[in-house]
Amino acid sequence: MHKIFLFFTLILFSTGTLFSQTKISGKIKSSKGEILTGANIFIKGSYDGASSDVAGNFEFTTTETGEQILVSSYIGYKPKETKITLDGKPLILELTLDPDSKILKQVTISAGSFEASDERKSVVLKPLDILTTAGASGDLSGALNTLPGTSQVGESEGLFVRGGSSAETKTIIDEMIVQNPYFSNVPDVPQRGRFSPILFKGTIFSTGGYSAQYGQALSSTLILRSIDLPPDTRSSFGLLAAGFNAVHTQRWDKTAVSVSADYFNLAPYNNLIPQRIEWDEAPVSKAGTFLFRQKTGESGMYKFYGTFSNTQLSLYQQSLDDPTFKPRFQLNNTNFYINTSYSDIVFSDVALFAGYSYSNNNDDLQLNTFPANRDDQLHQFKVKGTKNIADIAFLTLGAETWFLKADDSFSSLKANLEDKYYAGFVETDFFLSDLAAFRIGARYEYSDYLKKANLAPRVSLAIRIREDDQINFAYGQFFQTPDRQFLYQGKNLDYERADHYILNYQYIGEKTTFRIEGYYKDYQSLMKRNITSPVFGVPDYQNNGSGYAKGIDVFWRDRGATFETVDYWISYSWLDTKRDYRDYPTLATPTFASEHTLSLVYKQFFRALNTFIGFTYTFSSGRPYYNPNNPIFNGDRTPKQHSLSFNGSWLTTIFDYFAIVYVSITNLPGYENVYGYRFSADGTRSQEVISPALRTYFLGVFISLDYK
Amino acid sequence: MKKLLLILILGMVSVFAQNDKMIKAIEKNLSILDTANTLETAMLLKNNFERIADAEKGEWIAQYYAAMANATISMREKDNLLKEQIIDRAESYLNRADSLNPNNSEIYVIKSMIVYARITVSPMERFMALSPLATKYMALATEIDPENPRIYLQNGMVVMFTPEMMGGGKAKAKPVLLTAQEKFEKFTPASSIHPNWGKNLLVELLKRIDEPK
Repeated sequence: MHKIFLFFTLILFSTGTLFSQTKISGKIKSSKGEILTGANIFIKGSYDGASSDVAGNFEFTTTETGEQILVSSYIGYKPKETKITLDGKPLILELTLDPDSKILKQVTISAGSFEASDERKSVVLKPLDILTTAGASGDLSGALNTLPGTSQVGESEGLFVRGGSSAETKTIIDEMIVQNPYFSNVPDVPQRGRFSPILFKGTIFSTGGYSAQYGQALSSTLILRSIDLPPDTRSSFGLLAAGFNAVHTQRWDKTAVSVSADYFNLAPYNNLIPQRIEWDEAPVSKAGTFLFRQKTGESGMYKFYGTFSNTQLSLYQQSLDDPTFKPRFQLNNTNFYINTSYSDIVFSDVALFAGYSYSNNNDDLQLNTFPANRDDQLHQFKVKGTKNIADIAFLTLGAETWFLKADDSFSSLKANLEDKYYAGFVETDFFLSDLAAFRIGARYEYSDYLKKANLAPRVSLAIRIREDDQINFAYGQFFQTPDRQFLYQGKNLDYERADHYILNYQYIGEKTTFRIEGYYKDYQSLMKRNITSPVFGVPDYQNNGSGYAKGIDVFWRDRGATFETVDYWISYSWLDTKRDYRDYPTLATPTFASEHTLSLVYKQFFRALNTFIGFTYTFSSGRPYYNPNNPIFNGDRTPKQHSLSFNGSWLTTIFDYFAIVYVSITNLPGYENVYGYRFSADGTRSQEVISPALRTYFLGVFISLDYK
Repeated sequence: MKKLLLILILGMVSVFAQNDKMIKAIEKNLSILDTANTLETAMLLKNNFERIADAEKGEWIAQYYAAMANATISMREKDNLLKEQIIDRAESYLNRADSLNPNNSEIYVIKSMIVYARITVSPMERFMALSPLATKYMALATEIDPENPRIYLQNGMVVMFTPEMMGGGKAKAKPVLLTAQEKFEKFTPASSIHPNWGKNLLVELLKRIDEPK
């Protein structure tokens, strides 16, 4: 009897709540007063709740009792939790939801930078744009070279930004610097980037005025964010004109592992396509990559990326002083790179990051009969934390340290150095409602080798004019340790410096983008050879070089606004730059700068044929070159340069497996572009600097082995 | 001993009560699912299913319906960023369903539906990269259970809404949808709350195919 009583009591307890129902009703609006229809209002952890009607009203009864949490949510708004007490008395609530900042068209700090992202709204590019730009052949820098602010320098790899050399642009992957982002330099043969664009989910290409979180770049930073977890398990095999590539990715719930292998041998290709340089051994390259991702807890992410590659090649150059002599250039490059990081969110509003990277690059060279070797090793540690302050400001604090060890030799001459570099930075982003944003930061750097410190202020401001357009301004000081060839030669050297002033207007609509940006860049304390230093022996370099760059960059993009399947952009840059540095006798325009540069990128998708095609046209006015017969230094100009490139990709099936066939041809019409001239020591003989082949062809078939 | 039995009985009673509560709640919402034509009803269903799914995190069927309701709503959203958020939501419910009940044909159909929703955000940029994935999920769904009528319903819809010049159209969709009809006739769900939707939608689609232009 006693037990039966207990049983009933328990039953009553579990269902007995029937006796105390509470009615909850009210109205839900946005913080701007808009009525929200279809919002979900409910007691956390229970079925009890309601959807708001067309007037924003809701009403429901719950059998829950006591202290409970009422959740109200609506897509595009931040979900809200309200503590309520349920005791049978009806509750009438007025709820308001704040818009989700990810959805809001926020003011974005964008002076000087181009962003490619899938995750944010106000961006100029999408990650896929980089893969589908004709002329780029799937290379990151090739695609970015169609943006304003870059100069077309056909004979060399890298990004030449706003009158800066390629050494003034630094590549950063997941917050960590990349010491050797491109395959090792080969005379007159531009090299590709070492990193495939498909590794990245976001790209910020800053053509100036970048954040205090980064340093050691006088002109520009290319900031890449790698993907977190790859979407699913897949294997693919790629057969290319000059090699093959195989990738397998295994995906678990919170973990992913990906391995890939690449092999390229350009010999058959070079035999097929007329080459204008004399290859001895065509480039052969082998590479392996390992990637690991682990999600930890709610928001933690551990990333590891490691890659190893080896490239071998040799070619004959033409001596201008002795036409019968062909010096041989041989390169054996090995590169090892690790990038690992951990990021997490702690105390609900502090984002933490810690990373370590290591690179070792070795160029084993044979310059005719002389052996030479270039070797560098870099360890980098970086930590940073960002705290959200009342949703209107973000404070970032961080520090990094680099250990560089360089070992170079040429024949019996040897040079080496070690530099310990320390940097700290602080930066705050303020958002003044949705009208303006303001970023102020400073970076402190100390180089153990130079025994010098610098403090670089950076400021950036964005003011919204209307819904879709804003005006941006940026100012900053940027320092860079001189190249190591100068560090070996100079004494008591200091950082090279550039100050940037940028003013821009930007419109980003649903399908169209327009921006115009004017800038002035002031170069100071550049490396300059002391004229009194002896002609023979060790030249003396000091920090008394200077220069400037000023210009206007214009960008227009129409993404399907005129024709639904057509996407195109136009970039135009006007550049005026001069510098007196290195061994220049006077202020002169450097050889890597052209006054006018125009790019036209066109992409069209034919869904009926599963085909994507693209064209890129580029034009640049002549670049200066040094002619010993001209009394004006760098007074000559090359002819104008044109290029029209095509690419196409076709989705099909091969043996029932999905496959993408990819074709690209650069310089389709075969324009004879001359990038410069080289002269013999006495100035009587000259030679054109041209690309290794008139046209470049790329053909690839990528087969997905699991999509049957 | 008696005590143990009592505890056991009590435990089972509460489990059954809980399960019963969920079954009743899902049944109630399913009764309006096939007729949910207005956005308001669709939102209401989405909210109801989400509440059940959030309270019943260990029940794959609850997660399944919350995913499906979000996937359906995403198709109607015009703002791409909101659309993507809704798709993300659908995907997170579906992933939970998938980990609770792996290798389920019905779940793969929704997976494929979600991929198509992602393609519609930006067909030009995503079609080539994602359409093989959608096809893969449909192939897996068919491999696990070729008798699942929703596979043919979904495939038929994809063909129907692909323009004729692109290899789609009503004429090509009809045989696929008729297969769906055949499969629907033979199909009996495992329980009153197991997936059994789509018949009304199919009738609607077939009506639209047969009506003169």
